[in-house]
Amino acid sequence: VISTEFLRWVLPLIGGLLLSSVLLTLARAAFLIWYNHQTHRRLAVARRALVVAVSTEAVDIPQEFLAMPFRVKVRALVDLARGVTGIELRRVRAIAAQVGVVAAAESMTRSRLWAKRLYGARILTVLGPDSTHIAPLFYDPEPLVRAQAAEWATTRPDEARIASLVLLVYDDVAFCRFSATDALLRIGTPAVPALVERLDNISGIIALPLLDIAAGIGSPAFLTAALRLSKAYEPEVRARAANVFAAIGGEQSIHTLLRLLSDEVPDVRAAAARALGRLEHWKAAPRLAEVIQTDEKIARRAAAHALRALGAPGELFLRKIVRESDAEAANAAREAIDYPYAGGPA
Amino acid sequence: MIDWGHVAQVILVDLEIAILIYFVIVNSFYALLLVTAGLEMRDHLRRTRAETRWRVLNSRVTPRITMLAPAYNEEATVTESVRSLLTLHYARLEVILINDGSKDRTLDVLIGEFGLKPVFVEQEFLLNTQPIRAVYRSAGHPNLLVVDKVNGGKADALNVGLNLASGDLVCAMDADTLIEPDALQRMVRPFLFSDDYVAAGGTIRIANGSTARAGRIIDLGVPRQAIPGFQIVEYLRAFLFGRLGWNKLGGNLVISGAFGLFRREAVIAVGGYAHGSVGEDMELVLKLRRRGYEVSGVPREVAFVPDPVAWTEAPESARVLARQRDRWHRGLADTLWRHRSLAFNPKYGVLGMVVVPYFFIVELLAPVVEAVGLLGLLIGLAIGAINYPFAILFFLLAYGYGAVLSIMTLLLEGFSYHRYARMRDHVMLIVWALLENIGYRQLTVWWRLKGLWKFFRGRTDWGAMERRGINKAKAT
Repeated sequence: VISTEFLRWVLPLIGGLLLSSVLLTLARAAFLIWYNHQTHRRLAVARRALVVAVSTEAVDIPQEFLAMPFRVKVRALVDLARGVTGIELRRVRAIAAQVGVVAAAESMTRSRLWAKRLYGARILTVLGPDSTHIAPLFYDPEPLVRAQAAEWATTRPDEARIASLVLLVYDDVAFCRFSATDALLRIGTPAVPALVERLDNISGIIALPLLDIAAGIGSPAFLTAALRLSKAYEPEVRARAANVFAAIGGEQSIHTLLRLLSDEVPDVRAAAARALGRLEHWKAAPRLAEVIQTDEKIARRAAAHALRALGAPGELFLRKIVRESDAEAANAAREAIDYPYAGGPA
Repeated sequence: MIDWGHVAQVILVDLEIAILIYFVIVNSFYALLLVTAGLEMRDHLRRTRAETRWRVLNSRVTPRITMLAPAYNEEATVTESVRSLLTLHYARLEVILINDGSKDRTLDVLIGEFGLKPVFVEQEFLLNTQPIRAVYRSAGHPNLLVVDKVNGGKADALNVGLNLASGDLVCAMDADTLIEPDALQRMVRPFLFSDDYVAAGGTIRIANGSTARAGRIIDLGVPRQAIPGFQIVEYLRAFLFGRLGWNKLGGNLVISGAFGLFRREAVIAVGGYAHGSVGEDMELVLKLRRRGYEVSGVPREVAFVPDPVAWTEAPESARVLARQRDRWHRGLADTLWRHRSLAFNPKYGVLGMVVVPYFFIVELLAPVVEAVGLLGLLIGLAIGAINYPFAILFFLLAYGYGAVLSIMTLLLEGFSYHRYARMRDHVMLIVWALLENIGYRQLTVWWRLKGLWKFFRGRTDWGAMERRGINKAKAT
């Protein structure tokens, strides 16, 4: 099958390949050691020049910074921008625009190659102004680019961008959904009108991600939608609505949570109990104690942790349950008492 | 009259031809893995260029991660290990240390060091385990939970952790593994990216020759001793080109027990870690992937993420290494035997038609084929069935090709992370890569054969692992 002649022919090839791969590995290692040393030195110079320019508000950018290669400029600018805020951040961004980094990044966002668009969007997220180049990236075919557009919008929210983020919450790719949800939570109050508008017009499990965001922001503007969705057919929706009440508070929320404490589904009762605990509604203590003694495990545990969150009145109930109730209730109460902090696991 | 000499000659030549064909197929597959690993690395570097992970670090919507660290007689290193886990850069983190019936003072050390107090925990017995003696919490570290249980082995300890974990994801690890501070932020990416991922593994690298302080590697180096040196090359090859390459060729089957992230719900759904298996990590991954096809018909994804790094101490003596390799091969055999119905079964798609057959034919049978080939070669030479020039040339070819693959892995490391900062470390790596195939490789064949033999005899013991301790030996 394989003759000695064939091996004689192949062997020099393998030998050559081995020798060249060894040489290439050594050359690459030597190059990287030199390159890293060089980059390290250049970065130090660039950072020093940049810090001086930013802190003295110098009109002219230092020559040593201008002479740096593009990648060093980007790294120095990005590193500094991540560590400063306010006037200094604006100054870093102005320098980035002056030295052409912003223009280059904007042009990258129009590239045919997704990796370039992503790199451009990442530079603009840290250094970019309120650019119009990002808006199309919300609809980019590459999920990472869409997610980056969401991150960019976090610190530059306006009506159109928030609307795009609300749409992105329903993206096919989980990472885009994560990025949009995270962005809306960080934006907070300015995102409320768009979220309320959307929540008012949807029902069923499609409301779940927006209810989570509403629970994270906790604006009273969500009350109407939450009240409606607390009567939804789907138990997950009712449970998430309970989380929104926990974030909003107020009489109507408490009233609805007490109603949900008698819901037919244990998960909903557990969510309601947790919410009452978060609101520290001590008047609910006897009701929560009743849940611990009569309900299913998930609701019992949630009610026990909720009682602990109520402080002294709740703890009195818990100790009474440990002494006087059956093993299941006593175990739930003991676990809540022993937990290192009030409220139980997240 | 039958000419037995001639018969033996024919058999030997046919055998050598079969082995040659095997050699060509296997090495072609390795070449394919190298190419796919290179492509995957290129994509990975593109995806992570200028990436910021601050969102993952402090977002309210990142999944909660529970670290599961089983400990058995870890008195000397347990404090440092727990401290390094508690300081990992991931906000939504819980650490569960499971003291698996240690005979030394592991538990006392933890109680003293972290001010642990016994607490009552209402357990959910989702997975059957050995009884728990007590659960402890620390007032100073509310996210630390220490479980003291009756000894039941690593799989049992991890199952206890799974029962008690509050995280959406659980990270299984060895108590003596040093995880880089930002590794979880990197490892969590696949789970953020798609709901189909059930497991992800990071890179395990060898800390021998490096300097560690406070549970972190502060100075990376290549050891001068041959055994750990060879293992560095082996690990780089296994992770940087083996597992990375599989990302593109049908998904991974192995997530290292020393550092792997899993979706808790999915692990519990398949019954957790298998008791009585010495290859519990691979067995779990196979079960997870198998269940995807059986329950939903949709393959569940298992990713290898190259940039989260965990450091482990490799055995420095041949005796301890032999025990480790024997156990690994028994684990592989046991897992493949338990799931033998998957092989060449089109119902399981690429898992049944490519991945499992590869592990059967290449990973499991390789030592057998290699041993038979070597033996046949020696006998063939002795009786004159194979001529010397052919044997020498073939040996050089096999050696050269193996060395090329190893060197290519080093090159891939150079093009991706280039962690080694000193030229002498690169030279040492090349030296170990060139020498690995002479002697060391043949020894690993022997150890793996012993593992197979023990598997056929039904042995499931782990064998003691002796470690010098990275911190103790090298702390500055």
